[in-house]
Amino acid sequence: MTTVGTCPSCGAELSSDAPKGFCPRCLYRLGFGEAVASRSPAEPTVDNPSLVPRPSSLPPSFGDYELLEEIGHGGMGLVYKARQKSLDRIVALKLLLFGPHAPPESVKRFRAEAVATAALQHPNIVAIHEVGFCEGQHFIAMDYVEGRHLGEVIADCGLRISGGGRNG
Amino acid sequence: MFSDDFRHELAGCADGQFTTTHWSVVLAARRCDSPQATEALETLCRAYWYPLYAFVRRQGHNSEDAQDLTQGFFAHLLRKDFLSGVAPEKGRFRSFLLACLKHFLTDEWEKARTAKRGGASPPLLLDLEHAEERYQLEARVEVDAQSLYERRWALDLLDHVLDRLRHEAVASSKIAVFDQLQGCLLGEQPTETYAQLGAKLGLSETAVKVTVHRLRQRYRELLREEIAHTVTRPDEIEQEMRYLFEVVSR
Repeated sequence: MTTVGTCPSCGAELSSDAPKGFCPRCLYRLGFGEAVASRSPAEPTVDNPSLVPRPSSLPPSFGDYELLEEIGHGGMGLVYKARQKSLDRIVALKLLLFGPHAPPESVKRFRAEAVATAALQHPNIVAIHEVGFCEGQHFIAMDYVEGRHLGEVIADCGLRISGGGRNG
Repeated sequence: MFSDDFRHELAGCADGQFTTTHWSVVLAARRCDSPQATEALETLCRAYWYPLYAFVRRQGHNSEDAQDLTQGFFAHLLRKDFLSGVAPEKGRFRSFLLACLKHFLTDEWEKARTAKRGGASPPLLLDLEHAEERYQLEARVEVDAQSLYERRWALDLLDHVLDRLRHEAVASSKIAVFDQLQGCLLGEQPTETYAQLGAKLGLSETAVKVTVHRLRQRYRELLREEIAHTVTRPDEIEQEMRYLFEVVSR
């Protein structure tokens, strides 16, 4: 299927079979009650709060973490830059999509990812600090790596095994 | 086995009030010999036949055989006694249809060919001529037949919902507003603000926001309704929506 552009809401590539030109992922996300993220600064505020956590619907204080900004999202979850209050440090906080409504198999995969990553120690692997469940959300707290989005770096200069891990 | 709502709909079958196209009701009504249940099943088949065609093509059949097989399959499915052997808790229409098709492809194809030679007319007229044009756009040859079927299903379902949203706007004489605002279904467009759209339509910015909000609400209702047509219990709607979300996220 050929790519015909990108979704103005989530930035994902749109294929030529996108229903009426809309991003199918965003259309299903909208079905869950989510106010689909807009890249426009003038995001409308009349929508209901989301089932999927977003800065506008999550409290600024989330357990031991203070959410600062959304820094990424994918098919499984959203990632925030956050401050861990007890240790006063900046971390990346990954939250599972659908929050308390996440299907059991997604929760299992999410936690398995945390366990598998925690078993690895290497300077180029992002370390995991905590995995847990708080205020209806499954989360993983991990190192926050400054720098550009890895996808942008790969798009610009390709992926080199020796340099990939430093570009978080 | 069935919720009170579905029992109520089934009860309506007896006095001619059967108006729903729920898959669960089709299954529950299988012993009713109800023409409305048959019509409901035909409606579902008309909405979701293309994913089956794509499945057959991706399995390696040429376009002519795929058209015959798809048509033959529906003749088989819409046989009067076919559903009588199906358990009411059989599951989602999506998976039921694919399971039946797989069975048909292995066991029933020859019988269907014989029936075709005998001149049996197809019970369901499908736009098979355009099916191949659509299929030629399915260029991702690395996707297997089942994954393609599920992706087509998930996308076609969204298409039906968007079509219904548009038809409702036409029916309520709001198509001009719909045409201007449908692009905001997923959020305000960077190219045109709500204030600019409002100026075009003679509406305030707040009125545009409220209209978009209602459009999204209605979209959500229609999406859930469309999924409800294909499952057997209301509590499966959320699960099916999650599954379809995962399908389009692959």
